[in-house]
Amino acid sequence: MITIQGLCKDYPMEGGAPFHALKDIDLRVEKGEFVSICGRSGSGKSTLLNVIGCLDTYQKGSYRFLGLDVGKLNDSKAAILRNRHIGFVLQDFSLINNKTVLFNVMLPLYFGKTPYREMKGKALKALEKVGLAEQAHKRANQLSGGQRQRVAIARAIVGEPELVLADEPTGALDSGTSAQIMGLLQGMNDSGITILVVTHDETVAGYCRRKIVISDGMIQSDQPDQPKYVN
Amino acid sequence: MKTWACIRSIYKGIRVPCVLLAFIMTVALLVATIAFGHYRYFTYSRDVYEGSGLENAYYVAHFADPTPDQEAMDRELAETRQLPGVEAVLYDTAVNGFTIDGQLWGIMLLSDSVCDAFPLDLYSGRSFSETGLTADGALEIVDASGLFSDIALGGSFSLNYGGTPVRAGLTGRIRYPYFHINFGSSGDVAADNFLSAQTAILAKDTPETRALLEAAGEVYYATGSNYFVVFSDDASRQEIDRYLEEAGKSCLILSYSEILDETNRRVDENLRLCFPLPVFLLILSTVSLFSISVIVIYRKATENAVWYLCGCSKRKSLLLIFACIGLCGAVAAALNAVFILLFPLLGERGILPLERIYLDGWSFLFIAGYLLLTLLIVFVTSVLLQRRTSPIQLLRRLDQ
Repeated sequence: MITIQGLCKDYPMEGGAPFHALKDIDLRVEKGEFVSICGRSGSGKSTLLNVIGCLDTYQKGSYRFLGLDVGKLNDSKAAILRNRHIGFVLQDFSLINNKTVLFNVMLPLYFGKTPYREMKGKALKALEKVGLAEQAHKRANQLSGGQRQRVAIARAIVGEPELVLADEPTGALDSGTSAQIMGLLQGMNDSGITILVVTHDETVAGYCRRKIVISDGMIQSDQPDQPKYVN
Repeated sequence: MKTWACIRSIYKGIRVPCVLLAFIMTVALLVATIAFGHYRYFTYSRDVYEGSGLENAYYVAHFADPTPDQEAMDRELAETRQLPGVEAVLYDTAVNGFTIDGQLWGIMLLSDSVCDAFPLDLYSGRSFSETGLTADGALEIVDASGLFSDIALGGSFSLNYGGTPVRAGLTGRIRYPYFHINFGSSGDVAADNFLSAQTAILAKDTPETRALLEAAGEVYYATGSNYFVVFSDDASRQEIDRYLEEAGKSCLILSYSEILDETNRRVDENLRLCFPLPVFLLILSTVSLFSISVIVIYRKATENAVWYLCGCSKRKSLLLIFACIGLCGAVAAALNAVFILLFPLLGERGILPLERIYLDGWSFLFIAGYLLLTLLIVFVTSVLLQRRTSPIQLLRRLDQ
């Protein structure tokens, strides 16, 4: 599903040499994998996730996603790829707080091919999977942190993507709620969705079946792992 | 449907600034449209005058009080026509005594040469035939009053002259505010003095039309005491000077160029007097547009970042924000376009009888030009600010 070779990502620095956020990354992820990407703060793990999610570009190397050369895609085509094949779950939930839960979950469908009259039904189905269908008409800022993250997960899967990218999905949650969220992600993986989780938390990494450690923009280790926690 | 739902979601939280913006722009554009209409009235009348072909003509205005009676005027005009070098005399004549819906009206008779020099500003129908009569011998009428709005073009009706019906046919209509020729002014005369915005019923001055009218009864003609004397191209300077010297004893004489100079002076004066306020208001509305665009884009930047996450390209989000704010300008332009369309109706009904305003295709162009300018400002602002608030940077900041 994901094939990355020799990928480099730089950030320009004012008046100096560019900062090398990613250096010569080689990575291959197959369909159905549940991968954690671990490292300290500033190691480049979120940058790698953003590149994989077509949110950001790269300067060198190659990245193929579902057989497509992502480097050749313009902003519009990358947006289409993101909309149809990738879901995101971020630490801060990234919801539109003054809108309803239902609107937030429907958001990817506004930019996709789902006919308008089918959007609500699909969104409610996604909310049922995360157990929040009754909260559909509440505003997002009326929910607890755990509920908001579940809404974010529902939004990530509403378009039935092949890949879900989660960047510190439990960073703003307590341990109990974190376990619930990781359980949900495990459940999604069991249904065939490929999941990449960026985390610095070993507990979170313990839910995954493969662990990649990244440091100073380079992959230090990439090992299969037996999940220590099962939902 | 989806795009409109996205635009509606953008408006949530910024409805008040957008309504305020649309209001400011509508008012500013309305004031500017009226000022432009006022300016256009002067330039339109100048255009008509410049196209009149009266470069060899002199405007003659009697300054004696009382002015000559009808018989004296008829004699004077007939004598002037006979003078060497004189090609034509342009004058206006009214014939009074008609009753329409119980009210007394006069009909203004326009000769061929008057119609050639000052063509009627028709918005439907046509001008007069050679004889001024319809094919079945009725009097051709051009409506510059709105009185015959319920009669179709080409339709027949009767005018009551002292109890005797005179058959008439509607040939054309002049739009409100019914500009037609008026030679009543004296003193500092300019082109706008020759176009009067007054209700009138117009017919052609020919032997045939006069015969038809005189057959209805005793007709009283009232010829204006001011007129144009048009000299031919091969009139000699002595012939012209001889006439000017003689006529100058009892009349004020103005040449084409003198009238045009006075016209240009009035156009410039009008520019200076009329435009400062509208220009100020337009600048105010443009600054408001820019400020509100910035506010909207910054306020919606985080939401924009979430859209980006969900698969909305930067181009699409830019277009949506642009549509949202641009709609405010479009509403202002649309309301003003409706005002221009309804202006004749409002004036006819006495709801908004603005004087010396001429609204035509140029007014629409003016509004379209302002709309394009506002859309350009919104677009450029959106592009520049989007570059400063890139979605990925916002997402990174939110995550931190």
